[in-house]
Amino acid sequence: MYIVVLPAFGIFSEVIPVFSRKRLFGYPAMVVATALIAFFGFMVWVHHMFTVGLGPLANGIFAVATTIIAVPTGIKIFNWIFTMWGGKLRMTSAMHWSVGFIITFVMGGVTGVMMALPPADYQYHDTYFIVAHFHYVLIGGTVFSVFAGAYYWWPKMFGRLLNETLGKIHFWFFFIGFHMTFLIQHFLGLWGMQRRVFTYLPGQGFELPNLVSTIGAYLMAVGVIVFAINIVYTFVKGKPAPDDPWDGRTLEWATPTPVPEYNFARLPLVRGLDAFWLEKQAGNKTVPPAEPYTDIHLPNPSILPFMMSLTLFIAGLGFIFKEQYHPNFLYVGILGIVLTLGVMFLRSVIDDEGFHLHKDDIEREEAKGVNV
Amino acid sequence: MGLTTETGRIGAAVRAAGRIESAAHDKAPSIELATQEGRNKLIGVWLFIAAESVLFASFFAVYLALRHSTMSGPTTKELFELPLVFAATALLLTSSFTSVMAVLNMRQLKAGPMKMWLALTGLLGLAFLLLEIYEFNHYVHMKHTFVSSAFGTSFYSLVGFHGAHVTFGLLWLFALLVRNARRGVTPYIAPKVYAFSLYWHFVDLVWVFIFTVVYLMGKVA
Repeated sequence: MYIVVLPAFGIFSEVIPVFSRKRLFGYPAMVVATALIAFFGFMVWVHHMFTVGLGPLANGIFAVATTIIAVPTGIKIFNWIFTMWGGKLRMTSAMHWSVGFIITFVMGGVTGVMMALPPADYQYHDTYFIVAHFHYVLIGGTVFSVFAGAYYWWPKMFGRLLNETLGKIHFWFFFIGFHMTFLIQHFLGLWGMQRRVFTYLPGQGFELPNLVSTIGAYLMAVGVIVFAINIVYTFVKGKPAPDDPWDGRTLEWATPTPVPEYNFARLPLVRGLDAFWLEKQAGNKTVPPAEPYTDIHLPNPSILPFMMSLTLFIAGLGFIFKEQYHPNFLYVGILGIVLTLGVMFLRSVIDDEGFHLHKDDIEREEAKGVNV
Repeated sequence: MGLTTETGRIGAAVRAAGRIESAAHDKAPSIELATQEGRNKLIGVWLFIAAESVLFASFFAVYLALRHSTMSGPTTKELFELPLVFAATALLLTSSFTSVMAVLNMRQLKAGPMKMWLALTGLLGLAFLLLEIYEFNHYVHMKHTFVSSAFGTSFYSLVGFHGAHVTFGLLWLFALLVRNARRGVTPYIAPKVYAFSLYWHFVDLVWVFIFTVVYLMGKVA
């Protein structure tokens, strides 16, 4: 669970400083917290099975580990808040998702600490309280970060800015819908509604809260549809993105858009954290190069890595469907593994020494280009 | 343009690094580290090994926690026969040695001996695998199966997972030998051979722990 959210934390640590016009508060503490979360993340898995009867010692150890992991996570939350504190905030779509994340994720974290205690967990186990909790951390953490990252890096990835108005409509539908769906599920769980059962008996007062939940789910769906419309709209009519649409701090915003396949024609000279921002502060428009133009060696484009993940996907699907639908899906799984090994064999056997871009061509490109 | 004559920023960095290194050790970096691609590849292998260590550590922890939960089936003491396991250990440790010989010959650009030592590594690995299959078959006949007890599940998860690693290593080695059948030692080939050898040492090292934790501790416990 925690490993899932670490990339999300990374995205917010990129987005929040840019739209606060401040460097990330407590950078070293953030790095240490990340490492601690990754480390403790391996030692909390028993909190999913406090009630199976592992005994007080195992439960106790994993309860301590689970509460300890809240400490580095809390450090991160405070550092993001302190990054925004006194900053010059710009509430773009990406920033909406980031602020929404802090609120939502803290709520999920609080319930997480509640269920880290085995005696209390016996009450919550297998109820909708758990469902509410993990949607708060997984959607509030990971999904929000994916949306924040999409709005933030879309111009660098696709050369066009996503529409900000549609982005905010997307956010508000999704955010309100999300809390409508899952906040009430805490109460449903405490009132005794079971998870992992597709229905419930009438007359227990579960009908109205579940209706609220359903309406919230539809609001979230509307939000995602707005996002889909935004994507289509952006590809058809979107504004072409400048190289540095957000007044960015990090090196990716020092590259031209579309980004050349070699990223930087010359390795940039990095003088510290937030290298691009440091140069802007020093009055430079770009990051100075650290070397003269030289030939650049690049790998050839290849379909094989994609084929490798596709065949692994087939294998995974086969092994899952074997349990779910029909034993014969086992052969689909085995076929997927064999194909994966085949693709790996191909990748090994075919020599791919890449190619060189020549320095004269690069110099010519860079001279007429926007960068350097 | 081949990688041997690689120029450009990477080449400049290699030359600079080489100069620093030659000042310190009075020799050029070995062939598997000659190109940026090679060095990247080997960092990838080290990261892979780090992740695998965590995975194996988890399986070891599970085994240590569950090894006495035999559901009144055969215990470790009744099951294990040390001579067989000792033979398997000897085979695998020797295969690690032969893979070192392959790398040493590779560094001296001797393609023929390198392939010979690699093939020998493969044969020893295959012998180990056959012994393990025999051993597992024997255990199943003694009613010690994957689903017979928590001990069974944790045992086959750990030792079987290692066996799967040996199997994958053999496939890897086979692919290397096939692809390099008509090629000499080049800076393109060398990281591939070295990566395999790193992986093989890791699998070997895991076996040393399995030998100690599973078999020796199983005999005294």
